[in-house]
Amino acid sequence: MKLPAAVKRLVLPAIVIAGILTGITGVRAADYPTKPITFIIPAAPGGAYDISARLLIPALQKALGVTILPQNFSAGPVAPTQLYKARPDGYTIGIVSMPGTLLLQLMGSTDYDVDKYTWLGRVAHETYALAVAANSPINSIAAMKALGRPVSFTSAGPGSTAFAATQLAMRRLGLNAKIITGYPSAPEYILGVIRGDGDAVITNLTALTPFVTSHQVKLLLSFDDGNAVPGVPNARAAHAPDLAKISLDTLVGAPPGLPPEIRKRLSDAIAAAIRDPDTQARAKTASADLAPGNAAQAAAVVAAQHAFFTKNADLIGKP
Amino acid sequence: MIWQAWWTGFASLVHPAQLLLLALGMAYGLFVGALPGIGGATAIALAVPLTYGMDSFGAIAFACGVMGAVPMGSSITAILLNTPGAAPSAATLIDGYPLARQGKAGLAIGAAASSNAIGGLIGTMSVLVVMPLARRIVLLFRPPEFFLLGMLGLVVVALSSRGKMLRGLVTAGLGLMIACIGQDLVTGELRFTLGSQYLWSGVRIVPALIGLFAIAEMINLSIKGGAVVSNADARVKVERMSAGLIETLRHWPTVLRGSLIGTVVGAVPGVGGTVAAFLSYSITSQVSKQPETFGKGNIEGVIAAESAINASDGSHLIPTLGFGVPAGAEMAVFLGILMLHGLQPGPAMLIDHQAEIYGIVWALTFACVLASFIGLVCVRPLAAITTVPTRVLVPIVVCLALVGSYSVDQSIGNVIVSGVFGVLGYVLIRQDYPRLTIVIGMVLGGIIERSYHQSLMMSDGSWGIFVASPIAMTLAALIVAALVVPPARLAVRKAMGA
Repeated sequence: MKLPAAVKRLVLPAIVIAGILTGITGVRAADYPTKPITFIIPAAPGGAYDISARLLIPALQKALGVTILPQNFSAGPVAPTQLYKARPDGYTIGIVSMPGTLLLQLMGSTDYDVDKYTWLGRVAHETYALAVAANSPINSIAAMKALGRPVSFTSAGPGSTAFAATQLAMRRLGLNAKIITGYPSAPEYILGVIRGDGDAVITNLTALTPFVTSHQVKLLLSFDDGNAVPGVPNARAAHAPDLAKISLDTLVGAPPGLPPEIRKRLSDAIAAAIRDPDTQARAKTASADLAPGNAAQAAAVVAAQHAFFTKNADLIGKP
Repeated sequence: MIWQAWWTGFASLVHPAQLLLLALGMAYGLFVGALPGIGGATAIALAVPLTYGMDSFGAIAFACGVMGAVPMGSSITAILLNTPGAAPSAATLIDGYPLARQGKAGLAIGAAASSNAIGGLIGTMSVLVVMPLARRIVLLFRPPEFFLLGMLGLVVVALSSRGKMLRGLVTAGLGLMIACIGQDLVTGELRFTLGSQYLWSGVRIVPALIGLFAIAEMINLSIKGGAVVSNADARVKVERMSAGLIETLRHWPTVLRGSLIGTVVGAVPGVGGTVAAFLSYSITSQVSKQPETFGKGNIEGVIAAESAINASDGSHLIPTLGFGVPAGAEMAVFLGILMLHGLQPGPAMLIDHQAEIYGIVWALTFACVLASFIGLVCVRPLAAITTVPTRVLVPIVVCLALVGSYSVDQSIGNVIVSGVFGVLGYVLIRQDYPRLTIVIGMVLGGIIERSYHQSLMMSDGSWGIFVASPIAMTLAALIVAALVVPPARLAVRKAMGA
């Protein structure tokens, strides 16, 4: 059937323009969500971030009533960039690790700004700690200082949180030390200390705990100002309160410019998903410590970390 | 005590629900493994949500079914279409595909299946024996030993490019250069990333393999026309199901050597099945009396690679369960599944969860053997693929290959890499340069560079660290032997001939 010329001239362009405008303005917040939501995970399957995300997803699906599609990316700037550049329509959210994502930005060559993400909440908060092999003769920071030679730390390379934490500890604790870098993941640099590649390792407690409970490493210092590990000195006891400023936070974010109504819907759903008894039960089974936080707390974490690393940019070890 | 744990592990698996999950996992693993690029890690990752509702033994049975069956599926496409389903199978296709082109796809798949099963059995059984010693074995390999192991791999492969030594070195050098792309893990520096964030993690091996082998071969086939079987008049010879098995048994020293190499290399975290398969293949071609037949369709090449692949899959359990340090990407996902089900791999698990550990070993053993059996049964219909005309085959394989490449980590960058490596692979075919050595350079480059720097950081710059332990000295001696023995053998032969 041939369309009249007027229809061709007016109605069709109008339909196209309406379509474009709908696309630009996104879906109506009241209807949200109406289709599956992509959940970006900034790590390969099986890692800590992947486990955090997958613990959350079933309850998040229940809270939002739509399918959540996890999408794993290799570590690096690709995942945060994908999240940053996605349309702010609530259909792309993701895990953002802090300060890892910030450190990548401070290293340069990234296309995102951590201050501009829309923060939806916090899933986990992990404290850093210093450990040595269980059979090491070093039993305290004082013994480490008295070694008479540089202490060697195993770690990931410059630009990683573990490297920055190690640099910070070396300075604030006054250690004569060197860092053996190049280990691709936390289990590998912890294993490096167990087999004697180096004397000590600094990483988050979640990664260290299995090795502590199996008596392969022992903790000498916890980088918190409370009582994260009973019986282990904290940052304040080591006269290095700055160490407590390094932590690993697993945040959930969305692209900049997410409409407030959708942001609230998502924040509430994430909070509900973390509180969900099934999530809590699975987290307990997986020995994952969930430390829920709201959107404001997530934003505060980012602001504090940004301020700290801007002031101490040399810790990053930028080549 | 240990016998009791073996039996408990076995009994926990021999239960209708567990066996059903194992079978489902195997069916899924065989299918997904045969898709180009979708290796074990992606296959299990896609199935993680399915394990939520299962108990720990059910999840173990399902995941082991997938892991045990993926290598068989992957080898089938490697042999039939020159397209490795997963990276380790790239070693299988070197001789498997020429056999398929000669119309002997049935023989190649039969040998692959049987050596796969035997290698898997040896690998998993060695885990049963070795698990109590897991800690000692894992601790033996430090950065100096990693460096020497990588160097041994390079030396052996360079030597195996017999007759094309210089060309082999050129492409191995190219592989090493490609391995330099991305963020240097030691210094944090970005190298040759051309401003692309995709290249921060370097060039991914699987998309590159898909390009070098699958895409390049499809370009080659579409230009030549015809079918995979090179002689248009030749009929595909599908021998009796037992023909491949007989070949495997006839070459039992190759199976044993491959299984041993796979078991040892697989137990070292971070090295993986690809290195094991290539090392086994290269050493077998070195010690063969007809080294010139390798790469042209020698069944021993298929057997060497396959027995090492499955043996390494079994021994990957040693660092993964013994230390909680995954031996590769596939084991990283498996470790995640175990953790989701309340099992924390590490020495404590070796003591507290022996039933689960031996359940894993038994499940993997069942899956390896049964998947190979299914492979044997399917030889006849599968081999017919090699007679499909190019005009039908090429578009299908290219589509599957590129989708597989994309699915590695859902990146369009992977598809571009496959395209670029496809063209590179075709140029290399035309110019008669070996493609295998590029892969080896890419796989070993990162390990060699990183562990070299780490060793020197550990020793404050002293090279003495490379001969400071018995393992390091053994590996150094093997490198020297690999360099000295072949020319010496040649000289002796010449002298005897004269």
